Amino acid sequence: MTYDPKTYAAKGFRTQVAVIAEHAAAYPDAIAMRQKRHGIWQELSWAALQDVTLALAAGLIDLGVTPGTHVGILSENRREWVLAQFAIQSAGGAIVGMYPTSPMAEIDHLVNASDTEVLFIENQEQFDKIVELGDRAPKLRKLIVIDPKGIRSESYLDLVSFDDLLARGHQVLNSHRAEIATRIAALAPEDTAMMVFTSGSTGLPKAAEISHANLHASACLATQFFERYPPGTNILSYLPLCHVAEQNVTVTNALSGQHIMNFGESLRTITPDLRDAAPEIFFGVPRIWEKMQAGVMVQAQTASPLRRALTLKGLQRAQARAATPRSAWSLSQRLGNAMWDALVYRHIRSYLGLGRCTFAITAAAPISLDLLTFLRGIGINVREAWGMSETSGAACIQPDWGNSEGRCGVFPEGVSHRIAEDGELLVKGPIVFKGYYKNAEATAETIEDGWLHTGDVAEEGTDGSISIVDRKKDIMINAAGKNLAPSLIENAMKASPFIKECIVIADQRPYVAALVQLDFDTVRLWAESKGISYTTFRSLAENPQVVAMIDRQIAKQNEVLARVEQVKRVWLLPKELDHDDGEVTATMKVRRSKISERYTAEIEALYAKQAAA
Amino acid sequence: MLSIENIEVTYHHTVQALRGLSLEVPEGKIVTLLGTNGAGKSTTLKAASNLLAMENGHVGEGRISFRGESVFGITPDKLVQRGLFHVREGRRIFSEMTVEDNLIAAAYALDGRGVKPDYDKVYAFFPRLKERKSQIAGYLSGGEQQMLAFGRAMVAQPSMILMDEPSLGLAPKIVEEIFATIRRLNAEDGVSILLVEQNAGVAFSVADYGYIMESGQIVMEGPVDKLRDDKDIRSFYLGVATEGTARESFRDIKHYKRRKRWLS
Repeated sequence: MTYDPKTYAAKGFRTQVAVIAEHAAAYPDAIAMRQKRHGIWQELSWAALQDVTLALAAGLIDLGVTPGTHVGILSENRREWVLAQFAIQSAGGAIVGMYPTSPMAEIDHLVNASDTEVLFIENQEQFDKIVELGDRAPKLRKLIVIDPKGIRSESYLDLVSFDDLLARGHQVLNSHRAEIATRIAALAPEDTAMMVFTSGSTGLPKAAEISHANLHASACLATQFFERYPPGTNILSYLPLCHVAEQNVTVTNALSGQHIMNFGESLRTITPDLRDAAPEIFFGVPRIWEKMQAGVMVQAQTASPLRRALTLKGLQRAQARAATPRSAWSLSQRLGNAMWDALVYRHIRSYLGLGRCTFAITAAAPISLDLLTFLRGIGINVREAWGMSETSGAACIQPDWGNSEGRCGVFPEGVSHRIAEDGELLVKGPIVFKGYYKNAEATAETIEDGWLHTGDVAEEGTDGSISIVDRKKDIMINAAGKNLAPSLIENAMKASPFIKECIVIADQRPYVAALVQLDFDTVRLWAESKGISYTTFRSLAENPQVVAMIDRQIAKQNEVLARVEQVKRVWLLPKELDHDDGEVTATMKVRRSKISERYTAEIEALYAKQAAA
Repeated sequence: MLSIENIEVTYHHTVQALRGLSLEVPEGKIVTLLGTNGAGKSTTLKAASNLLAMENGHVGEGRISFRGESVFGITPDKLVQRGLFHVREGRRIFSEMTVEDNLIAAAYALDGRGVKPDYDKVYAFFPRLKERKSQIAGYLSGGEQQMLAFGRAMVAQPSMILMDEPSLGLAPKIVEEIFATIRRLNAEDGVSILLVEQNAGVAFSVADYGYIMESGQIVMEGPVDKLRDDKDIRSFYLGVATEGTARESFRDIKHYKRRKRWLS
């Protein structure tokens, strides 16, 4: 008998580690996860996962982790990330996920805002950040390093390696077994299971407390969303696991559906790893999809003449065809799709590693409609979802092929929503988080009478599906008093293949202006085709012909916008926005205030020159 | 003087070595091109001196012009006669011939230019070569061979020299001598130089302008003074990560690579 995910919800509340124990008892030899190491995919069965989890938990107890201790994880995606997660839970602690790309100053905030006492770090790179942190993290008392290369002899904060902790755990497991069982049994639904940091695009990241009950509720939703996927379905984990969406897709979903979590070799090998794993379910943030599209276009443009012509023709047809919903296709459209699929689309999908993917999700940021049409046109069933850290992950999702009026689909059973008078989307249900850690004020502002104030302005379609307009805080009011949604304008601009990032300025201004970051890959090809010589990103951005080209692109994209929304002037950023410079968050969300602060002079020039002229 | 615009080079029609590379060497200047192994520095020089065909390399797109004229239609030997001399990596002297014969062979570059070869000038620059004038070149030390390679370039009286890693395998003292000569040739005769180097420190000591290359592209450029102060270049090319002149100790070497961003 194979496991049936539909039975998951019926059994009532369980913690994640209880689910692992269930799987380990009933299906000990089924594969739970795979990790690619030196080119070989190493498997771990549910029984082995249970063993490792318990041993690590014993190690953590030995280290002094008590129920309620906050244990952080600062690492890229790898097997050890989730092993640590399950062990922390078994030892009664709360998990605090942190972005490995965060510079030291940000880690300072994350560690202190969450009162992290014990921290799993990935390697020497993260170790150096913690050492640099020094006295600024007074509560931090123990460090565990996953890859000890280069720091084996260090003893800072009793540094111990992951393997040593595991070995120690095996030794003391028998004496701690009863204690672990007691601690797991003592985990109450309302206890904090993990803290997820909000992205912090408007201020400092806040630690959102997600309870065991929240995780269970979101697992129940996952069995609804992924009901047609049997046990053993492959998922590739590659986006930061400290982000709630990746937790949702990789961990929550894999546990409730008994799917297989796959961890690639590293972030740098994501493309071949994706082809290896060929997951059936794939989650990507808009930037990943944008990159895929740009990659396909660059490959197509630089292919031999025959292949280039054929591919471009096929892609052009795809775009046109996908404008109509799949269910409404005429016979000739279906025939056309079948032919181009055999000739072009399926090869592109295999090349991208999505050959077997039948359920693709995009979420976490707004995505351009053109891009979605492109992806759906080449046969990727991409569905927009909406959720936030505060809803413990996905709260609503579009049906197959995005076939709903609203961009984010409908809310599932058990989650209620309404749209407030000011347009803000309010959500109620078991997935609504506990509150922000040690920030009662922000919590009170966010949750009122059980209704979560999402901060997103939404619209509801006639079929009950919703679309997000923009973040409430981001809505700008121009000098004439008109409300503008910057992300609408920005996404219209980003539909141009040459524009990677666009930051609109309009608040209290007479007209809309924007800072634009070029897409280096596509602009470079364009420059070469026009015989414009360039050397670096900066030289492209400063080239008058490139500036003129971008102006034409902006003018073209302006056509889809209302008059007041049209971008009148742009300035090309001379460098790519970077997390290290604090211009974007760890998830590459633009920090408007930082950027307008940093480029004040250039922004003023966008308005001043006009006034003079 | 030499301008390279958006060139793409492939070897054997499969391996792409350069991806849209552009650079410019103004008259009378020393420009240096830095980069790690396999970045495509030597390929760039070979493309400029039209030697790629010998290695089944092929310039797909882009233009290279020397003194305003495209180099693609001109054979490598004619390019030398027009004043573009390429001192290749590993010196490439005629090792069975004497020092003097090597220099005489280089005089072929003067054919049809109506100038006499000036061997004395070479001997004045490098007295050591004069001492070993009649010795077989293959028996010279590495440094002397580099001097000879340089001497051959001088005999050809070029207006521009492409120089590929002159410091390769030489003792610091000899490197200093070679670079002093480069500086002198540039200052006295106004010869423009495109210098490919791995030794960023010495390259910066003579050059006016620099380009940093990575996987077939320029990632950064600027006047040498500016490059020298750049944090990334300091740590990746000059081996000075922190302020001051203290060199990093091997003990402090990290097992991870700091992300390079090349902000210019």
